[in-house]
Amino acid sequence: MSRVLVRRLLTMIPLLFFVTLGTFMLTHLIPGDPAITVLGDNSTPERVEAVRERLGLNEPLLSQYADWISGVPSLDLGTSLFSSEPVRDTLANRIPVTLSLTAAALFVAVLIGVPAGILAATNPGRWIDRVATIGATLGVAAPSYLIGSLLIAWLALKSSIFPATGYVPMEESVVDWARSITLPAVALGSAAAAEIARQLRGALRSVLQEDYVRTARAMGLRGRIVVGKYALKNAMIPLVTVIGFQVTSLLGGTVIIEQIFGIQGLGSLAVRKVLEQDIPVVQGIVLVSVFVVIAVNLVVDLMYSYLDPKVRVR
Amino acid sequence: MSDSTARQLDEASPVLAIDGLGVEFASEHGWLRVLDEVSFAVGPRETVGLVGESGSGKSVTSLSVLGLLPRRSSRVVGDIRLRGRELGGLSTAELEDVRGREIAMIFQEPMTSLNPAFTIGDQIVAVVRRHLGWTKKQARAHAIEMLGHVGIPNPRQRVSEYPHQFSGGMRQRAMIALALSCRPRLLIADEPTTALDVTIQAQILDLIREMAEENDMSVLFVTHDLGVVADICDRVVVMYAGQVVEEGTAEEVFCTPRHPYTEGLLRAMPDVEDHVRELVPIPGTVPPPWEFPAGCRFADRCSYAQDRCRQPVALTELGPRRAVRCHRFDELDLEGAS
Repeated sequence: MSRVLVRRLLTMIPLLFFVTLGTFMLTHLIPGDPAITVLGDNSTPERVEAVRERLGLNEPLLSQYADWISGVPSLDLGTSLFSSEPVRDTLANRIPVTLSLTAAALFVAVLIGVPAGILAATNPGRWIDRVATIGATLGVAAPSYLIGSLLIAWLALKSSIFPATGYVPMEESVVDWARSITLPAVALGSAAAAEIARQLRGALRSVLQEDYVRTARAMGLRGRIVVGKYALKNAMIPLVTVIGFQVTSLLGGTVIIEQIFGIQGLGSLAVRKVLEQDIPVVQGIVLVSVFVVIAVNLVVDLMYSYLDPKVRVR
Repeated sequence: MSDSTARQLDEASPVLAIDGLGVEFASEHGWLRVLDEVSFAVGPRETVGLVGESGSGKSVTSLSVLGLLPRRSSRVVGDIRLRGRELGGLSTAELEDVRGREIAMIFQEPMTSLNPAFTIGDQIVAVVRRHLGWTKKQARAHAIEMLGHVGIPNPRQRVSEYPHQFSGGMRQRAMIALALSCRPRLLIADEPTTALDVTIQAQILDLIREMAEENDMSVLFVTHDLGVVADICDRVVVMYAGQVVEEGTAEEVFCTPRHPYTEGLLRAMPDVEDHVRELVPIPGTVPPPWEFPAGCRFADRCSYAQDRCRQPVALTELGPRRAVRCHRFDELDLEGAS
């Protein structure tokens, strides 16, 4: 098991390399000149040239990239073109915000999606199945910004239980953190909840037809054990893949949700910095996102080997 | 009541008594009657073969004994008594207490009948702890003992292995260990050897016979294979199109069959000693439930059929636990197996 883990961690390195190289090239394709963005439209060509020289923008692209990547192992990600704040510090402020939003959204998605999927699968064709199916269809179809706006209108503006915007760090107050994260997490997680419910319903229904479920019933195991343990562990195998995908799309969804709820996370930072062509910061955000996605995939693979003994490597 | 009289009563009364069992399934043709007036009994330490082609209703019969038919799409009438106790009126929770504890079942497909996500040991432990309330440690020791008992080599190691690490024959042995782990009074074996190759079949049959003797257990053996029945069964119940058509001891049914369908099954059975005899298959197939004829259900395929065979036919008692459902049973001189 640990050998598999080490091997997987090693394959992350080339992956991180290629993805950051790709984004580096892509950001340079965006029309405009960061030096002009820094100085404003009215600056003289001489001053622009001086800033380009200072920022290293006159170097060939590959050597700019080499310069940037060489700092990555020691977590030196360069400095912002605008604020001259180290990128590492900017990210350190933003990462916990976005990760806690993503984690809370995933929590909401699993908390709603898994029970809904189980109830729908065990009561096929009954009202509870229909309600779950309709809910799941709506959840998948409704865009997160719409759900977010409705939540703000209904629950934040008319009552004061939840704040409409803003984020309170967990260190300051756990209660206020939970209040500030609830609405964005629900808005972000509802589509994932719907997808999880839909996929689990399908997976569980087909598992419940299996011979070994009949065996478990024939041996007198309690119905809730048969469904909740014997069948669910098998249905989790396809579901884990779905949840892995959902984490990735939740992370992407933070870009919109952070804008709506005025949360200063990686998503809102990314939007601003791409427009400003603040390449070192954009690169830092990409690096973090790729790392998170790879880490999630690793966790998914580890869960596979727990759930499905056939893929277990010894 | 003293202990000995209690035991005598126990000896005399059947372990399983099915009386007037009828089953209907919901379908696009409406409620379809797939079982009709099925009655037979399994005595203490008796092995009864339930025989018929696919679609004759034998699996439905065995599943309804355990209450495993889908609740909402099936209707069951008639009595099913386990050692005198009516199972029909039991709640789901009460039925769950009976399953695995008093009646256990093994199935045709050893490859798919065990849960692929749990070790063999965990599956046995769960059942033992559920019914007998033992500690994890006791249950695990018992699982190892059971695996050894059913002839799985190196049970101490194999108890922690997953079904996919077992061969087909070994899985069926593991399945038997699971089924017998709580020492049930009745084992229902639904075509347990059909998916296995011939040498393994013989071993599994021997194992079931041994286990039944050792544990004073009765067996209801569901099969389409009369050869297997000859090997293992004391009594035979022949089913056709959802009805019992003949019942008797294995010897009676084999040597002096009274129903043309039984004769047909015997003639279609390969005989190991007699290679000269030609196999005669029964023409046609069992009709689906929505095409059951109003008269004798076998008449369309029966070479002895006459006009009166189009009339409904009742089961005639020929003696104690000897019965046949045929208009012409007393005129026909049917050929048995030698």
